[in-house]
Amino acid sequence: MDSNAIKILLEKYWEGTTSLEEETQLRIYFNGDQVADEFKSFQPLFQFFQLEKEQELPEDFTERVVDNLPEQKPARVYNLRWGMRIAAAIALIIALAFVIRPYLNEQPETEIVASEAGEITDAEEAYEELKMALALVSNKFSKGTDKAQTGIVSIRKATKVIK
Amino acid sequence: MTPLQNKLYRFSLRIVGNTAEAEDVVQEVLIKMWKKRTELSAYKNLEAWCMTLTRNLSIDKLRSKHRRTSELQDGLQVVDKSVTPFQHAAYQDTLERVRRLMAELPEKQRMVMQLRDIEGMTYQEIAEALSISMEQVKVNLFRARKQIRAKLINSESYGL
Repeated sequence: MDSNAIKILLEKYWEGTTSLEEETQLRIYFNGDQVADEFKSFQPLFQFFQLEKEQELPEDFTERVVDNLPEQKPARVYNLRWGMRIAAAIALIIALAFVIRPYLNEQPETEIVASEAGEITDAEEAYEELKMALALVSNKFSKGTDKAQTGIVSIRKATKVIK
Repeated sequence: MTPLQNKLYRFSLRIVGNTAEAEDVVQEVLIKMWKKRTELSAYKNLEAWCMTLTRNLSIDKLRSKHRRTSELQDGLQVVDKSVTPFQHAAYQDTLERVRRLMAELPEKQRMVMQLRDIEGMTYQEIAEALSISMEQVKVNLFRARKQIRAKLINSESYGL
């Protein structure tokens, strides 16, 4: 590459208007052995860029990272243990629920029977109670039929009018 | 060895200025990636994500180091291990000088220059990695190059 082209590229470079390809051209030029004297003062810069580009991580870096990874394992085991504990606790609660459930259902029933039995002691009283209850029901029933009858009468009247 | 890993390494190295710490940073980034491996596909630009993470971790590291060293001993010279013995042979004094010139640049200018001139990234990629606008990328790159150029010419004229 002639020095005039380099001069133009360099000017563009200082202005910050070079493309990546042009910057690569400059780097290649300055890392060659035919650098014109007028540009010599800028040669170290592009040599530096080239050298820096070649700087890499040590060969065994990835191995070392992988070696350091197992430190996470204990944490994972710990988490698993917690999971197992939680699962065991849930299983225990479910098992307990199954065992307790029959008792839970029985207890209220026995309580009700007990309280009713406590209120009504002799047969006479129980009979009276039953009669009252039945009377209440039959009363409601007859009220219902009365209502229905008046309803039917009014419907008949209405149908007669329509006819 | 993936190229991205080395790119992150060089980027971190430019910030922390120490190979051991730069390696630590890259390791942390890789572990974070591993932990988030199921979500990674959701990120539009994985490389920019990694770059941002690397930058943040490196800056954190640098700040904690500054705090530590200033607590221990003021003015303590932090041993710079960013150059391996092999490279040291390859480094000429002039290259060492450029390295120092670049290290003297303000943080943003230095990072932009690193990503452009060493990593060969586009303005768009740099903007995403550094979470700044394209205009900011161009301005910072322009200023960085201008300053480096002035110092190179200056040291030349003084015969340093």
